[in-house]
Amino acid sequence: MSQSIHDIPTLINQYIATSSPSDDTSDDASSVFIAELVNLITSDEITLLQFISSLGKTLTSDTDMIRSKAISCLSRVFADLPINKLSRQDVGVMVDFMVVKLDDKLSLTYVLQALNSLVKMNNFNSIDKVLKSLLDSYSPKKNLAKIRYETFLILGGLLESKGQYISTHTELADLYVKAFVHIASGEKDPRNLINSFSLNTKINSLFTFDANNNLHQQLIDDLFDVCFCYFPITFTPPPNDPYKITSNDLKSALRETIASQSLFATDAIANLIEKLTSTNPAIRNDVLTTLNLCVQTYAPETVDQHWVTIWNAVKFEVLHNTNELPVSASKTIIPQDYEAIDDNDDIKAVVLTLVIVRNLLERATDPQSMLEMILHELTQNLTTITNKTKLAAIILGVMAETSLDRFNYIVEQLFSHSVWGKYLNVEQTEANEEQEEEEDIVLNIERQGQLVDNLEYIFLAYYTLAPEQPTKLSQYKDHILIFLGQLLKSNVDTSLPKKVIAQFVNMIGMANFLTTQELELIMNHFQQILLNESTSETVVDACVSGLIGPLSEPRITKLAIELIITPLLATLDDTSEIVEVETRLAVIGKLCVNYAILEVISIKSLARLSSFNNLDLAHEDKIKLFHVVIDTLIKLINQVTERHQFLTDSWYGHFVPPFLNNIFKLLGEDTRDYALIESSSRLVGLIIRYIEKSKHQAVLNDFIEVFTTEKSSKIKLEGNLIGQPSGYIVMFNKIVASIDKECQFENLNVITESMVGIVKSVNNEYLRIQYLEGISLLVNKFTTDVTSLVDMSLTDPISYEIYIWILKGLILKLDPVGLDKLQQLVNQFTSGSSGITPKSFRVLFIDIDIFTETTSKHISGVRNLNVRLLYKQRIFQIVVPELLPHVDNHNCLVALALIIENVSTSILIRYLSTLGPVIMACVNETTNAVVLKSGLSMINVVLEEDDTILDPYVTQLVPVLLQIATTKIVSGKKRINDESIRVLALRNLTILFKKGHGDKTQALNQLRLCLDDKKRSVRKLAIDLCQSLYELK
Amino acid sequence: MQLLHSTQAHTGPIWSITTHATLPLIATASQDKTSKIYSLTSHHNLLTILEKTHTRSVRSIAFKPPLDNFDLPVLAAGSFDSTISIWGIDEPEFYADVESESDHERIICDPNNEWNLMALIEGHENEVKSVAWNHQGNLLASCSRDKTVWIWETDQETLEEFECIAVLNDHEHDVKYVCWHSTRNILASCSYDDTIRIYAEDDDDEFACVGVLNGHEGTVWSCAFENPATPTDKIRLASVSDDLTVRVWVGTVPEHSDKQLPSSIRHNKEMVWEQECILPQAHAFPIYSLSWSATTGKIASCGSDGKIVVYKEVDGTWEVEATHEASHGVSEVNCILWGKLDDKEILITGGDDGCVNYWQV
Amino acid sequence: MEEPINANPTILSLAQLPKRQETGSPFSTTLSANHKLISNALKLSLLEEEDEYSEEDIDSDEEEDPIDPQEIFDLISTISDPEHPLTLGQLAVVNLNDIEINTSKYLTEVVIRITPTITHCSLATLIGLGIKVRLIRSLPGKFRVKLLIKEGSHQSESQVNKQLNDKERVAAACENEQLIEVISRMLATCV
Repeated sequence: MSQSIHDIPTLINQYIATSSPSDDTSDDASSVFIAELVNLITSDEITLLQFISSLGKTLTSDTDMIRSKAISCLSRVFADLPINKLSRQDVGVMVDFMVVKLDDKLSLTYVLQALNSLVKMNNFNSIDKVLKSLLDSYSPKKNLAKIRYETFLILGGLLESKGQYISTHTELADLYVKAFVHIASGEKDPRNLINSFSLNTKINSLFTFDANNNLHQQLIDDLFDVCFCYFPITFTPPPNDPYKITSNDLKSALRETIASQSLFATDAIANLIEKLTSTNPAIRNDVLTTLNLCVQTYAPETVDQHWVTIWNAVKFEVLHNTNELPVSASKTIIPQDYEAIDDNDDIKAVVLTLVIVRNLLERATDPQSMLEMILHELTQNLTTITNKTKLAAIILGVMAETSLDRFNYIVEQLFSHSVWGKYLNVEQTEANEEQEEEEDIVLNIERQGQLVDNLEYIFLAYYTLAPEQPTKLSQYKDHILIFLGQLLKSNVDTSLPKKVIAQFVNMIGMANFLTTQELELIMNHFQQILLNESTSETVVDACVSGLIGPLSEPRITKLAIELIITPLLATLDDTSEIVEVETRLAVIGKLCVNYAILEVISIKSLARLSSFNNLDLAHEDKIKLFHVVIDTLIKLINQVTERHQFLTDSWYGHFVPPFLNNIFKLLGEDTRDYALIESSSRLVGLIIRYIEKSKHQAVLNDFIEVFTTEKSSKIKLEGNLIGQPSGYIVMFNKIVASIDKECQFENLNVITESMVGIVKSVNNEYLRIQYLEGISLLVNKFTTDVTSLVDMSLTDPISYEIYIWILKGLILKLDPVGLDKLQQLVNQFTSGSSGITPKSFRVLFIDIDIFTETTSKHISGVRNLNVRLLYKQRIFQIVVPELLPHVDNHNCLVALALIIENVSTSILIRYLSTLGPVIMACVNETTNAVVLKSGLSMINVVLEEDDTILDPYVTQLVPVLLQIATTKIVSGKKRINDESIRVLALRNLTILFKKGHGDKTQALNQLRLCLDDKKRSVRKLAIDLCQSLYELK
Repeated sequence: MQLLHSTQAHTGPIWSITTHATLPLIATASQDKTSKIYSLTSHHNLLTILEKTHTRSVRSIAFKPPLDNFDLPVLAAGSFDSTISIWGIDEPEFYADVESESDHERIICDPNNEWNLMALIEGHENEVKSVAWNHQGNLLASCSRDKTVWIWETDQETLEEFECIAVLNDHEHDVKYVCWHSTRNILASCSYDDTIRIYAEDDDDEFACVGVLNGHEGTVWSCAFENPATPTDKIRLASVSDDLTVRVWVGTVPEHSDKQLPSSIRHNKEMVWEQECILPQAHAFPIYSLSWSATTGKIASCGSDGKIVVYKEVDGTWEVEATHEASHGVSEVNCILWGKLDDKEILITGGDDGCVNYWQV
Repeated sequence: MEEPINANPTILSLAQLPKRQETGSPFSTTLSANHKLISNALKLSLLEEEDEYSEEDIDSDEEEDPIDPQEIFDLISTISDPEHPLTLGQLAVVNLNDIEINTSKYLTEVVIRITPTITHCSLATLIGLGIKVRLIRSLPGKFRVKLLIKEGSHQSESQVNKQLNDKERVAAACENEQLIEVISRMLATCV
């Protein structure tokens, strides 16, 4: 054999020299020497024997330090050796050596670590020796958690490598258990407890115990005590717990252990039940969760043995419960996420109990007898309706949902004459003909309500089972329907009808339950409720909101349209009271969940509009009625498209013309009712955007004809709006705005020109602006050659105004010419050329709906806007940098303010760093509210984003803001700092102070002035700010 | 009634003001824990701030009546911190050479004078609510929420020692205010228990309660003895209360009992007090303070409603002579005092707004 | 903390508390709708040079929202009870109908009747003090606040009333750190 070229003793001495006394061996210098040694041994350059002998006397040295380090050296080498390296004999020898060392206090950690490595080795076969010596020569009480930890690892390792073997050798298994109980007893350290519990669980699953064997009985008791003594485990991890053990880890580990051994059952269940008397909900919930786990994991026969005890113990959790069960969205009695309920919530105990009952039923070998017994027990709670009935019904429901047979059985019992049957006048079966004739079966309203409520639990069970075939419940549905129906009529107060409605709705939703006739019956009930003038609002709401769910189902939709929607719509005919019409439409509107219903409503509303037109009413009232109907339609179209988009091609033919004709008829030439034109235009625009793209060119042509010519078509408009100014320009704009942008606009120039003409002639400001918008729109969407349009004349204000609007149309689509012109405009403006008003920039930056109104992802494929994404950002970049240097020029400041007023913060953010001076200039403004306001809104943005920008100004800023908030800044006859401005100032102050700026005492004094402010909103903010300042003090 | 001048003396409310009997000095006591002394002249200049002594509100302040025209001014201030501070000035340079009162006045009213804390009196359990000197200036009375009235005796030369010679605990609740008769050693105290009590020395020269004035139906906030030009054997006292009334009470002077008799058979004569009248109601909210003019015999009152009311007695019946609303803006008025400005009698008020207002009546 | 004196009071859900009804008719009258449209349009007119930003400012004398019982209620109902994690509103210690405002030429008096959760509630004074402090901090100077224990809702009504309305005692209490500590905890829920 080859002589080692390495000098082992040196290695060892170096190790002993370098290894740190602390035993985190991970990364100290010593590791290299260990690696070296391991290498030598694995590569057979030295034998274990050589290694040991070189360690030689250090292993037995009297110097504790040397000795323990020697052993640590040894154990670390073992740890890194391949597990198949050492021979059976080597392992044996080392084990012998180590177990002797178990009494060496200072080396103990290393000894245990060594053993831990050894037991994992293939050639290890001294199980009993290790176990015995742990039993005899190691005592956990005397050692630190860290050392105790090692022993758990050893037992764990043993089980891993030799588990099978041990479990098949009873005496070894017994020994193992003894050893485990020995090391686990009195453990307190959380990390070790986790190990203790999981070992205990492993033992229970791996080893078989003979209940009749006294020793085993003893071991079982020990295993039980060594875990259950910790229950209920209350542990809060230390703030800097290195092992990140949560009290939940411990709780569930312990739970699993208790539930892992059917032989624990007798003791466990008895003890758990005894703990159930605790007044602390957290503990009770812990107990119940554990019980539940036991029920799920103990052997069926064990469950059989104990279910009565468990039932008797837990039932009161439900039967004495007074709180409401949590309502679960998913029609189930037990909410799916019940585990998430807070442990300190009393209701959790109830839910857990229900879960236990359900699992008992599912685990039991003879569920039927359990069912019968529980049912029998609950019967007296059921036969006469009391507050207890509900709780009984809940339990029944939970049991019923476990299987179809049980459902049927329970239903049969529950609806038998003697129980609930008598209330639903279910005829008696001959069997119990004679009994309880005299019993009084009249219920007062409260009891009726309770009975109705309790039906729900059976229905919920039905939902869970979702049966394909008819169930026993079908036999009783007539009785139930009639019973509920009667209650609905008979009753006065609102609570009972609401309960009835709820159950009707439940029944509608139950699969394979009601026939169409029965559905109709219910619908008719609802119809009566909704049509009856005297029905209270809350009942109507209950009815409507109940219906919404089932409505989306086609066959229900069909029924509803026939039996509810249509009759309701019919009621519109007998009133022209604005408020009445509005409330009725509101109710109908809520029910409008799909296209089918919408169509019915639209047709009816249209008819109603024309009848309004013919009614003998004040013009003003007609206008209002039209508004109500139109606004409703707009709302409903959006409401439906949110759920499911649809095409309106047919509407274009059937709805739009008569609709517009009605509007024209109502308004005629006289078009000062701008608001009505506005909203009817919105409706038409909306419809157009949902017309299939291919049809758009035709649509556009039609409307150009309608609005710009005298030709008559289906849509009859007197006169046209390029001849003379007309309010219908708004409608024209909205329609053109809604048309797909790829369409062609016939004789565009003629029309544009004549619109320009009107702008120059018209003396109605409002109309002029509308025509300007129109021009802007045409330029934006249809004009290809712009050069002719864009020569600015400052001489004549109107042409200048037209120019600005044309420019707007161009920059919206980022037309290069337009952008040049914009650049020029700004330069001239900053160089102070007259005629260019700051207000021009508002026009250029403001959003107006003909450039914003669209609907994303039309199924119609229409893209109606010709506005480039981020165009605003581009023009902002062109304009603002030019203006910023001139903030001292008031015009520029105003322009900036007007721009900022119209851009989103997302754009501002990129310029924050440059805004400091602008902001200060703005907030010191005392003549112009717009400027002041945008100053304040900028501050708000800055504070949200990056307040360091303001740091240089804060000292001036806080007093200025206080000034704005607390005093009256007047210019001319007007108050500049209106409510909205004072509010903004206070908001900013609040943020500033939150960030720790400003002098609190001074602010508190000054803010007292706000307490007297005329406006409530200002007072509120000031008070809140003061309050937070007091708290800061 | 018109406002002559207003001094924003404090940021916090002013609880109490006092003027000096002979010198043109006025002092304030405020919630801001300080007192200030101003010259009671048309200049109204600030002479000094008495601070860094009390840890809570200074509730009450009073100038000691001078021994003679050359006596140096002395102040007592009672605070919610349960202590009473005594303030005075060092004898200024050349003070020995002072001949005329005017020099005296000039020197004393010089803003450069150092006002020092001469004594800090401890004894009360909690908030001191009022302090008052007797006419000779050797007795200081104080009262507190601890339901007691204390009388302290001091050596006027040094003013360092204050010896408690009486603790009077006849009241059932906190004692709001104390005041001495202007010529006799008779003390009155008013209280949260709705009563006023009168104390005088009994035959063993021990102060004892010699009269209880029942009638008010709410806390009695303040009271003042009449100081008639010609003393009679009747003593009158006016009081103001939470019950919105101003009442005048009258009592007979206890004649000095015959010292020859052995004390065993002497019996202590109580004063007999009765309510003389209730002045016409003019206040809508609690009345906090009043002052009874020695020169004109008029009574002035003020309170929570910010109103100043002046009453005048016309052969035996009182009538409201003048009123002034919102005399401190919206603030409550805590104290009112007749005083002299350039030898004209004026009214001085102190309010929650921290202002001292000077009124011509 | 030791067993609270009234362990289970009746509690109102936040939804049950009285709220300010937002004014505004079901649908804006067409007139105002027209007006709005027009003024929005005028904002964009470049010809309207005279009085350039007139659309921005409201007529110089704003319409006043007077301080009404609801506003007072909103101020104090959010104060939390010293012993329950609930607000005085939820515990119905303060009720909208028990707040009364009397305005006179110079001053405005607020009379508030509070209903302690139980008749021997030793905390009535503390609660009252909390309300006082809150209102002193929140109401303009012209207000005079009068706190009364609702008739028959407390054993020692008169004492408590007298204390709560004694200006001097309230002032003294406000100089007591510990007390203010407790009170600011009660008021912390007001923002």
